[in-house]
Order: sequence, then structure tokens, then C-alpha cells
Amino acid sequence: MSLLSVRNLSIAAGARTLVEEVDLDLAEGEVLGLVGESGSGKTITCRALMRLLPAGELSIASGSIELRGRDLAKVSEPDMRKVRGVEIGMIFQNPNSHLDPVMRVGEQIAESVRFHEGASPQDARDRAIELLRQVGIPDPARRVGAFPHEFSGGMRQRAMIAVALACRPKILIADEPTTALDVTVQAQVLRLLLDLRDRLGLAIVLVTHNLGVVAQTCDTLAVMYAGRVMERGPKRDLLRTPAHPYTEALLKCQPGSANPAEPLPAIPGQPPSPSAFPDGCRFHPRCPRAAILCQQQRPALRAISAERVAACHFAGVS
Amino acid sequence: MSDVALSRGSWLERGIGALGLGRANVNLSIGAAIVLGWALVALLAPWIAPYDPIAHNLPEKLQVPNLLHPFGTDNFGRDILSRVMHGARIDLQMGIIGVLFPFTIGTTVGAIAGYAGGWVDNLLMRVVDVVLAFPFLVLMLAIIAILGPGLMSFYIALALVGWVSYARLVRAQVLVLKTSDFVTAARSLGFGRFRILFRHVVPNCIAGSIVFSMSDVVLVVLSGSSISYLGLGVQPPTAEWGVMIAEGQNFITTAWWITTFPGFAIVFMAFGFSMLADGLAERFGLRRR
Amino acid sequence: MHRYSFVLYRPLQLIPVLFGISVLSFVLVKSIPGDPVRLLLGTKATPEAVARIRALYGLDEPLIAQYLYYLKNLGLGEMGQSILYKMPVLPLIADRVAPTLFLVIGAVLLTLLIAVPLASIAALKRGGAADHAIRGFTTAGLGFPAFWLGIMLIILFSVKLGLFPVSGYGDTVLERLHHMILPCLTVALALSGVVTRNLRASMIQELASDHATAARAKGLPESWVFRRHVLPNSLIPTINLLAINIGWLIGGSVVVETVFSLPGMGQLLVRSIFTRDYMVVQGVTLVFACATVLLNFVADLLTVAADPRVKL
Repeated sequence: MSLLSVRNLSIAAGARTLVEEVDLDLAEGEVLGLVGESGSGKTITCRALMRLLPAGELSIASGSIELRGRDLAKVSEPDMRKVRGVEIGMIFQNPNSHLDPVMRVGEQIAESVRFHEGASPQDARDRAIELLRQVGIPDPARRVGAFPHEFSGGMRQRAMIAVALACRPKILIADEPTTALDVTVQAQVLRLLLDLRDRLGLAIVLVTHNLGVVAQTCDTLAVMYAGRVMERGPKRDLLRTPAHPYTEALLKCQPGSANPAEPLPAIPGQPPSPSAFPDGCRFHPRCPRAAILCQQQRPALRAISAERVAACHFAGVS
Repeated sequence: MSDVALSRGSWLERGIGALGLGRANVNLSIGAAIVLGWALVALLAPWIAPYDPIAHNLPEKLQVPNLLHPFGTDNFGRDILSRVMHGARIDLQMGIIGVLFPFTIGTTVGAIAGYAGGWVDNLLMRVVDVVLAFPFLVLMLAIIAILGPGLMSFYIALALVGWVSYARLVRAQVLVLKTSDFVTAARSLGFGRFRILFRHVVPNCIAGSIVFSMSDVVLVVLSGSSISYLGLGVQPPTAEWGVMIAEGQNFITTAWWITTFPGFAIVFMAFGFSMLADGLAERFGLRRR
Repeated sequence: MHRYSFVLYRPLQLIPVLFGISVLSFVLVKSIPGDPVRLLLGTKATPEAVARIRALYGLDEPLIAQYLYYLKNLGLGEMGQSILYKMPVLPLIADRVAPTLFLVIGAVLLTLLIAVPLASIAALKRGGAADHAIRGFTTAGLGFPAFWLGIMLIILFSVKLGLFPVSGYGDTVLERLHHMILPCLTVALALSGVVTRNLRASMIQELASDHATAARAKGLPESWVFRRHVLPNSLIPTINLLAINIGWLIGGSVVVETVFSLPGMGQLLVRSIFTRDYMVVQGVTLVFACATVLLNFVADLLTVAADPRVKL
């Protein structure tokens, strides 16, 4: 049973559509990887889930975001505020800039608890200490009064996770949470996220451009390109037998997948800018399998097996 | 996310742009218009002012603004409008000359300090620090106390004190430019240091100083009129806006117009130069809205 | 606690500047026209007094020695005599400190009281009519002479509306507050243009910042985000801005004291220039310079207190 269901989501900047017809499902305790190059629309999509699009610039043009029987795309702003932090939490790429530099970390965690649950300062502080312990920060009772700049990079990211989970949301959206960290710290943070999933039953939407991260942590993958979902399905199937040429190409470009003696392959060309999306299939100018059909008719996202969908005329055909 | 439609600017910008100036620089247009307006008034005052600014005309004294005297008259019967126009000559002159000396001195000192580095730089910057430790107006007054009141003393005091901001500004820019390629190229061609400094480096720094000097004009006019108001600058009966405000203060209960209009003139001229400064900053790419 | 350790080192760092201030003051003193003995002594120039003064200030010795005498005398609080008031300079200045201090502090508080709401409105409703009006006010405000503003306020509030006294300092504390409102308001209005402008820019930057977005992602309403995240972060650069403008603030108060006939250091300075009471002029100038250095130090303290990242 789906906790969060996104259907036909489109996001536009004025007259221009940036993200189109996105379908996603998230079950309880599931880790969904949202993968794509920069500019693929994955970040805008997850902002849209929280209705945090910059007002006046971007807006949800159509579609629905179902959470526990409500369509988040249509609820009022005050109602949405009750969802943010309480039912869906969000962590960001850069823990340095996303934590208030002049407010103590404990206070930043306690803030949500005080606001959403009306807790007393003491209770909120106790919850903050508990959360810091849960995310693996040593000596939490002392650290609760520290400022962000007094933490190391990895600890700051953990602190940000504690902030997001303060009111015990069931869903966590992680926008490139490890991109700004070194490799060893990346692994620790990912392990922490999985740990939290196991202990708290947390469902996670993990946005990243790094297939290595996805391979380690996710249950399901959705691959985005040029504002559309190209393929979606269980991670193992997707990575082993990609149905969409874009997914296939992405896998080939990963270091370690090719012959070490040969130069690392890259997908020729550049992702299209939203003002000039190609006709038909948006990937066709760069696709090794492109045919005339691909330029004339945009392939719909259709099921190619019980759990997989792909948007390619030649999906499943090797 | 970066291809969002470019903002088209406010209705004012589009309006002025429609006059065929492209996406117009509102600040620059308005600022230049005001400053030019004042320059014209100052230049043409002897011819366009309806009355003599100094001659007494006691039968007409203390008149409320009316058709004959749009700004009223003061206690000596002098037409305020004419005095304001003539005042523009003095105040505009104060602004321009008062900026010229500090600009020249400060740019030279700053350029030398930045380029030479070492103890020369250290020494000059210590001097700057010391001068800056004194509140500007207080130091000006202390120097004028020694030299005696008057416009000349004002200019001398300004030259002694006002160069400091320019020196800092230019030094900072020279420090950056001194390591750039074109300087290295000039040195490899065997050009002397002074030549490189003043013919190659400084011209590239000048934009920032020019923008600053426009706002500095505002500061100079304000200081000059303040000092004249205190009685230590331009002396009566010369029509200078600060002096007029001082004279009018004695009559605020009966004739509010004597102090009010010269003040508006100061504000209006200062506004023009501020806009000009903002406009030039935009033009030179030094600042964003 | 080692963020505050600069408090110990700062006096050492300030020595060169203080030294320079004393040198400049000395130069000013030596530049005064007229007979230095008469200057230092006032009018009671008996031969014994003259000889004493010549010894006290080393007037017969080379310039460097005279500077050292000058420093020594400063250290002893000996700054010469006022010709007009017939008393030593330092106690005379000390009498006048209170009104000036009142004016400066009151002006700073009022400036913040004006600038914070205006900047907030302009930043929150950016691009709107209120924003344009406020920005117009700040640009125009840069050109308002403080002395004229003071007179306009007097005309409006004292003459036409009779709400405040036209001038003077008052006797009781309550009277003083009443008298000081217009003068403080004058300086505050002159200063608030620059402060509002900068604060607005800071706020706009903070409103769009990553940590503000993260705060919104916690479900906090905009008012909460503004009050507890945007505002504190925006005010930090404002402390710095006020520090930079201290010289301007003091200069403004000197003129305003004359407008409102307040018995402060500024009025003393102006009056002494007219009466050629040179030792007082130099004394006040020196005190103002030291005050500026002190106020800058206070601003640094406030910055360290407000921003936990800063280590000076």
C-alpha cells in the first residue's frame, strides 16, 4: 500500500513546463532512489512534494500528490505547514548552508517540536538530545548547545537529519545528502539512513546523481531525464537489466563498469535545456538506439513487467 | 531551474526603455537630469534669477510665498527663490571642488601605497587609520579653527582630511591589479614603475573612485552647508543654502519658508548625485539591484 | 571563552592608533596661531605663572621633547585652560559628556526602531509599492542635512503642534527625555537611510538563504522564520555598519546640539572655535577621537557576542 502517490505531476515556470507527467510511489519503509543528471528535474520534483517551489517562479501545473488520502498539491498553505516537518521531513545537500549559523543545533531541532507539538522548552530539549543520540552524535547532552560551525561536516549532516526527524515524520526526502561529503563520511551517513529506516519505519526518497549511492541503499529506482521519468522499478532489476537506453548509458559511464584499459565512456551531447526540449522522446538526440519513430512520437511510460515501467519504444528489446 | 523567464524590470524601467534607450538605467537617467538641471541653474543664475540675491528690499520683507516671490522673502526683503538659485552656484562649486582635491590626493597616495607595498604601504595606511579615528566633521572643525572660518579654509581642511577614503579604495584595487598579467607584461617590457602605475594600473581602478566621488559630493555638500550653518564656512550675506538656513532659524515661528526652501534644494541636489552614483555603479557593473 | 580573548590583546593593537592620535593632536595644538603661553594660561599671565607654564610644557625645548611633555600632561589630565570659562579643560569637557552621550545612544536606538520595521516591510514585500516608497526614502534620506531636518522637526512639532520644547536640555530626568526626543529623532532620521538600505539588502539575502528554506521545510510559518532566523542573521552586518558610521554619527550630533542648544561636547566645540578658545577645541577633538576608538571596540564586542562564528 502506497504511503505517497504522485500521479502525473507537472511543474512549470510560467508558460514553460520543466517537469512533466511524473508518476512515483512510495511505500512505508521503502527507499526510493530518484536518479538523474543535473537539470533532470529531480530536485524541483522533490521540492514540489513539499510545496517548497519558489513562489512566483515555479508552480505545480497539474497532477496530484496523494498522502494519506489528501492531495498535497491542492491543500491550503496552512494545512501544508502541518505536513512539513510532521509527515514529511527534508534534508539537503549542503549542511553548512542549511543550518542557521547563529542558532544552537539543539534549538534548531527543538524549534519544530515546540511549534508543531506545543512542547515545553525542557521537553523539546530532551527530544533534541535523544535525536542527536539516534543519529549517532557522541555526547549529545553537551552537543545540544553547540553551534553548527563547531561540528565536522559529517556530524553536521547527521544534525540536519536530526532536525528533519524532530517531529517523527514517516517520510524523509533526502536531496543529494552525500554529494558534499567525503567518501568515508558518505558511507556513514547512508548507513545511518538505512538504520533509521529499519528502526523507525522511515520511507526515504533519495535524490542523487550517483548510481553508486543508489546501488547501496535503495529498494526502488526512478530514473529522470529532461523533466520526465524514463524508467522505474526495483533496483536490482534495473541495474542488472536496464530497459531504457538512458539507464543503460548511465550504467556504462560508472567508473568500474568498463574495461579499465579503455577510456571511460560518456554519453555524447548535453542534456537539453527546458526552453528547447526535443520533439518526441527527449533522449533521442543522444540515444544510440534512436529511430525516426523516436523523434515523431513521445513514448509513454508503460509497464514492461509486473513492477517495472519504462518510457521507450524499444524498452525490453536488447 | 535556471531558464526561468528573465525579469522584465519595473514599469518605470520599461517606460524609460520605451523611449528607445534599451533597458534603461533609471538611476543614471534621473540622476544625470537632476544634476544637469542644477548645473544649468548655477550657471545661468545671474540671468534667470528674478531678483538680486543680496540687495536689501525692506518694504517687501517677510512675505509669505506668493506669485511675485514664489519662495517668499526673508527679513531683509530678499527674494528666497533668487537666493536659492545663486546658492546653487556656491553649493555646486563646493561639491565639485571639494571632491576634486581629495580625489586626486587620495588616488595618488592609495596607488603608491598599494603598488609599493612594504613599509611605504604600512606607513601610509597607519596615517589613514589615525585620520579615520577622528570623526570627520570634528577634525574639519579643528582645522578650520586654526585657519579661520571661510570657504578657502573649508577646501584646505577637506584636502587634508577627505583624501583618506579614496586612498583606501584605490589601494585595495591596486593590490589586486598589481599581480595581473598586463602589469607583468608591462614590467617585462621594461616600463618604469611610475609609468606602469599611473598610465596602466590606475585607469583600470578609476571606475570605483568615480562612483564613490559622486556620493562623496553629497557628503561634501552636506558638510559644507553644515559648517556654513554653524557660521564657520561661507559667511553672510553670501547666499549659500546652509547660511540661509541658519539665518532663517530665527524666524521659524513667523516665516517658515526662509529655512524650508534652501533645505529642499540641498536634498534635491543630493538626491540627484546619489542617483547618479547608483546609476554609474550599475553602468560600470559594480553593483546589482 | 577564548573568542573574547581579543579583549586582552586589543589595547596592545590600539597603541599605534592612539599614538598617532596623540601626534595629530599635538600637531594641531602646535599649529594654533598666537602665543602659546597666553593660550595655555589664559589671561592671568604673571611672570611666575609664565615660567611655570614654560617648564610644564617644555616650551623652550625641541619639538620632540615638547611632544613628550604633551603626552605626560595628557596622562595627568592636564589639557590646558579654557579662556572663556576660566577653568581647566578636562573638567569642562567632563561636564558636557552626558548630553552628548544621551544624544548618541538615543539616536542609535531610534535608528534601529525606524530601520528594522521599514527594512522588514521592504524586504518581505519586495518589488511592491511599499518597497519602492521605502527605497525612495532611503535614497532621498542620504541627502537630508541633519541640521535642516532638526529645524523642520522643530517647526512641525514644536511650533505648529506645540508637542515638544524648541530647545534646551531640561532639568529633571523626565524633562530631559522630553527635550531629547526631537534631537535624537533628527540624528536617527539622518542615519536611518543608510541603515535601512543595508538592512533591507541583508534581509533579502537571508530570506532566500538555504537555512531559511530548511526552516520552512520544517513547517515553520513565514513569520516565525523571519523573526527567529532571518532577523538575527540580518542584524549582524548592521552592527558593523553602525560601527563604520560612528564618525558620521558624532559629527551629526555636533551640529544637532547647536540646532537644539544642547549643552553637550559638540556645542562646546563650536562655541570654543568662535571664541578662539583653542585649548578647549583641541581637548574636545582629542576626546572625540578616543571616543571613536572606544566605540569601535564596543562594536567589535557586540559582533563577537552576536555571531558565534566570529573570532577576532
